Amino acid sequence: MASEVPRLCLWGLEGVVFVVLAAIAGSALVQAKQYALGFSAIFTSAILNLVQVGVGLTQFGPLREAAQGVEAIAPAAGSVVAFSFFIYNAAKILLGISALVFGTAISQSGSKELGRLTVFVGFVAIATNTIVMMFGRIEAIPSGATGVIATLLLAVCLLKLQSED
Amino acid sequence: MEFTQKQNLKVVSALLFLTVITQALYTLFTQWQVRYPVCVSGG
Repeated sequence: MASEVPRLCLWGLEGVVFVVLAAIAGSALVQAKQYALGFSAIFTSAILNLVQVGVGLTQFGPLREAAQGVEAIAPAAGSVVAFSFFIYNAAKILLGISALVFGTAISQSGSKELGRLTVFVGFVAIATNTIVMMFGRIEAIPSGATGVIATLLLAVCLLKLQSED
Repeated sequence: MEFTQKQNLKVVSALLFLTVITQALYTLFTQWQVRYPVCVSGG
């Protein structure tokens, strides 16, 4: 149980962050005169991530316990984990799309290197997460890591964009 | 309460940074758990 506490705290915190992110990205989408695709992708990714974190927080533990007692439940528990990863990868594809949009915008407005790097990483995140969504988890494909790096660069691009406006 | 688009951009980027930090912490925690399972489980 001690090992569960940091996991629950981190997922709980992430859940709250995704709720607020959905609200603010939705607000940005409605007010946007440009980059609507980028904001729409962030908004939708926040909703999907919220579902994924919710499944992890509420269903992983009980299903794992049940599977330890009844072996026949193990495939069902595995399917819930697979569903959670499916949603996780879909959210990463959306963040990759947003990275493409804002990376392109930044590359045209000054920070060419940052923009190009963001576009490249966004494209890689889309490709790797699409492969993992289609064929299931593959250890050799760092789909999660590319998604996280795309998110980091996306955040930097958004900061740059608001300082340039 | 209404945010301007500039404020929206600031908050969205801050929240995206936060998600990156939580995912990095989660990865570090799971790696640590694999390496030192006894310490994490409190045994």
